[in-house]
Amino acid sequence: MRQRNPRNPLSSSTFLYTILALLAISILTWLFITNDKQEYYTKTDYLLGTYVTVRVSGDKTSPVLLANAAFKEIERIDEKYGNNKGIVEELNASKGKWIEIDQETAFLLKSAIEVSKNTGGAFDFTLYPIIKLWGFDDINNEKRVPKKTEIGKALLKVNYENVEISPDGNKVRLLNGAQIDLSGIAKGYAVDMAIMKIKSIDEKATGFIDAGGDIGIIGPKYGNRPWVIGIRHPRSESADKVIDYVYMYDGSIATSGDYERFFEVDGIRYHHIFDPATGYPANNGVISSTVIHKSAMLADAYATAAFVLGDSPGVTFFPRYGALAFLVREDLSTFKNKGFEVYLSK
Amino acid sequence: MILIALLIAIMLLISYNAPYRSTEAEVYVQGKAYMKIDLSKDATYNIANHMIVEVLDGKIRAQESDCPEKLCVKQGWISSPEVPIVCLPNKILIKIVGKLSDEAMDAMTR
Repeated sequence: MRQRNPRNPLSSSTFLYTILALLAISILTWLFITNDKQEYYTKTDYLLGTYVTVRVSGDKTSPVLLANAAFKEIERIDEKYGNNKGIVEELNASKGKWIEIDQETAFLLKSAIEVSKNTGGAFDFTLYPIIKLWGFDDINNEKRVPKKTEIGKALLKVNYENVEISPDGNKVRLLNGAQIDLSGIAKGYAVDMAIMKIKSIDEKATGFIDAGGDIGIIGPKYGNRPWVIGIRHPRSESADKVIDYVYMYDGSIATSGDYERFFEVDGIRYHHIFDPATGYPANNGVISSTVIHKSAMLADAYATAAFVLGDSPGVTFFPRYGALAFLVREDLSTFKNKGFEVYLSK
Repeated sequence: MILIALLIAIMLLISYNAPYRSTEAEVYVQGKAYMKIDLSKDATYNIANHMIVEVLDGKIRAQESDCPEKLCVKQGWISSPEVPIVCLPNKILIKIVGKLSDEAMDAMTR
């Protein structure tokens, strides 16, 4: 029988410690690798007249680089389509003359016209004269209730059909004194384009972009879990109270509500979402409308339209256009398009 | 054995510490860190002479603001990190950190 040598490297205690050390190293390495993959980088900035957050994780690219690329794209769109600058300013000052536009602008205008058509004019990006009249065109402007005659006069200019795009798509003109405001769809468009930018750099990147409540999903959380998005409760003392949760792996969601921007005169609340038919804040029984769509631009546009249409059959046609609506009525009862419920559970 | 004990001790420490981490709100003005606010203390604070902020029962709100539309005041109370209080004209941002009150939520559409 061999005597056990205490110096033998295979002695039981050394062996045990070696195994333990290896185990600890492998656990730490594993933690490091998985942690690295699950790292989300969050960047925020004031753009598009709101507060924008990008939360992103790359598969093979640094999340910081991805977030910076996204913000660069959002800045570009903010510069190009913001109010009182760029093409919007040029068009609004054009007095009906043909103005040359690039492909991107043509796409944006055509998208806006399409939503206007699909919603029977409930969404209308020529509401600018009305918005200006009420003082909602600038955060610093004084808000007021205009006279009926003023509203009637401004309404004559409001109609999306006043925006004429030449057949070749290279020119546009505004008829009958129409003026446009692309802020309603540029925000969502910027989210869509920023996501495309991120995906073009790193196809398997995940995360989301939140531009003032217009949220577009880059990819599922940690690659396989849904992002949990709360829909704001429209009547709450708390800004973070939720009326329902949706679980999203992809696509976009946007909400319009009468609580976002408003002023009160003699106890009456005048909010910022106008009915193109009346020129007054839309008042058709709905206080908050949320829409899920593949595109953040269209989610936002259809959410606005749903708010204006209100509790009417119009919204039941939304799924035809790839939009699923969730409406909250004045009594806090809700309406959901068929298909919306699949987003309400994990 | 020492290693295992150490690991367990660290894990216990992390899990034990988490719920007791003090809750704070970070205030940014013009994109720069301005101050931290302890949410366990009921108090009011003056932010850059633009906003009065009130803390009550772990919640925080903009009580007064000199901005034209007062959207930050209309926002009301917040108590979760996912939804910040934002004043666009003064570029003031109040964000809760250090606690995930509602771990279920990642973002909010509004």
